Amino acid sequence: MERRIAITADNIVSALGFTTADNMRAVRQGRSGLRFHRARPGEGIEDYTAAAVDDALLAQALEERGIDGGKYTRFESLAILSADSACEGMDLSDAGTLIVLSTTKGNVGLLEDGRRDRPGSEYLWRSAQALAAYFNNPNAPVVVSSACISGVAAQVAAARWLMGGAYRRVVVTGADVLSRFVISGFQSFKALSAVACRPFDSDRQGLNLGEAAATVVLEAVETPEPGQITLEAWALTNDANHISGPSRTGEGLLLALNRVMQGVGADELAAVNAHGTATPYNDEMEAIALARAALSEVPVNSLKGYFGHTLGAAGVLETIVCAHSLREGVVPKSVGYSQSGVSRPLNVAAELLRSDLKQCVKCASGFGGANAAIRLKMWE
Amino acid sequence: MMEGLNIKSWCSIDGRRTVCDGRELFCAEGATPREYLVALYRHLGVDYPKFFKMDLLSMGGVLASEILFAGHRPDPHSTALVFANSASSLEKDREFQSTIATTEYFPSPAVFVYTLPNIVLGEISIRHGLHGDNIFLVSERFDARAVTAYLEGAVAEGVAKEALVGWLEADGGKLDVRAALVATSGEGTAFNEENLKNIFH
Repeated sequence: MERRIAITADNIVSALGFTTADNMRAVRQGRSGLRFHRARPGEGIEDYTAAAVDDALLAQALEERGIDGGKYTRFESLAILSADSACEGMDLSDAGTLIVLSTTKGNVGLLEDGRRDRPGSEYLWRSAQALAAYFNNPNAPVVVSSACISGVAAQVAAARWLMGGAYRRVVVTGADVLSRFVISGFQSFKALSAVACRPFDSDRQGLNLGEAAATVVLEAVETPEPGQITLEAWALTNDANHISGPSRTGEGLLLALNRVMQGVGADELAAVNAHGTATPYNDEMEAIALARAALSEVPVNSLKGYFGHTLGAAGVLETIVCAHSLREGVVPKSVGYSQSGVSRPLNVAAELLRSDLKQCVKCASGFGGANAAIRLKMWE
Repeated sequence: MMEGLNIKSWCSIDGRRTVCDGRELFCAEGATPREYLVALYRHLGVDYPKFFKMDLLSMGGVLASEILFAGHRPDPHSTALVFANSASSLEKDREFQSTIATTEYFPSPAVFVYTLPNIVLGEISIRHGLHGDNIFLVSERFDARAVTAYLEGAVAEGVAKEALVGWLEADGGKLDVRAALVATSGEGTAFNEENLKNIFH
């Protein structure tokens, strides 16, 4: 029997809620978690707009699940809350389960704040070990840190580990939190918009950051059940062009899209969920790659207008929204879009669409020339 | 286990010695990691000015790729890069953090871009024109099982025929670069967890 990779459970913790259902409701309603933040005098950073998780709501959610927030950093609390919610009722203490953490910056905020009671917390694997220890999982956890494609790359890695039989279940949690470190870095690149982002729009002025944690439980299955979502194809590629700017020709993304589209037609896709950061260069590059891959007519959306760019969480979070959108027969609208600001024709979903099609593609691109794509399918 | 996947060549670079397939290539005492890598760059006769703006992870990774790809042109589409470390980009993270103190605030994009560990994958890809599969993993110690199973998966899918597998650590003034060239063709040591551990532990 052919082995397939199925998403058997999931959770999203974001500015829009603490369950996948809450987040999907907000997405269907076109509700955004982005808020304007005025920089404090002397803070260094400029005004910004971001999607932050409310501290009081987070504390309440942790308490409801019996997670001792005092034991963990804010970053770890988000990751554990998401993984614990996704894995409700599962025992992850077996050697056949691997815990994978997708993150770009983890506890980097501690370089500034410093928590003397937690030496070494800036090491990403420490947070992964805290996550694994929470579940009494015996395996050394793995962190995937491939910039903005981390969340998709982590699922690709998980798929390979499962296909080869190294593990029978992989829990992938993607997480990143807001910090002065990341905000000032993106502002130094002139990549942040002070106002709400507008992916693919002619008025787009850059990206907004967001914080979130999202979890998928992936398992190898032989006969997918009706309604189950599988990862049908995946690809990780590199532009080999520039370390901080996307390729002008979309080379790496084109290769990734072509690979995941092998054997299927554009007319079989409900949507392409793009990276869509709303920086001028990213969105233009994606429009070029989608056109070259003959996907211009497929409805395309970006979820950054709801969640901001949640970095290491993004690939996992957006995959979950894609999966549930397939189940619900919808294509979320691309919040912030009104008229095209890219050089190639693109079918951006300006409103929530209905679709009976059972497959979609999620792609991502990031620093280091990294590109990723996966194709999801819902089984009937 | 994939049939015929072999370790063709491997190298290690610390702040003092560079060894390839058990043979010492270059030795220099008393240098900082950066000074040592620049000296190794000159010793190898590499001509690639971009090298000097790189962080230590990228310098180490690019030089390892120079050594292991010597006299051999890697295929642009079927060469995978699977790299890992334990400290991510912390060396650069600390440097960037020092530029955003509220008293002296001057964040630089040239520093910020290297506060991601996977930038080295981009640098190696640019240097050798590689568009293939690439990933950066972080774990406390080199995870031979994760790396082996990942690469075997990429080979089974048909997306990789050759790969550079590497461990790149630059943290607290110490340098530890290890890399192996792995291929589905040609002679070499069998690519498996045990043999990887011998190189990477």
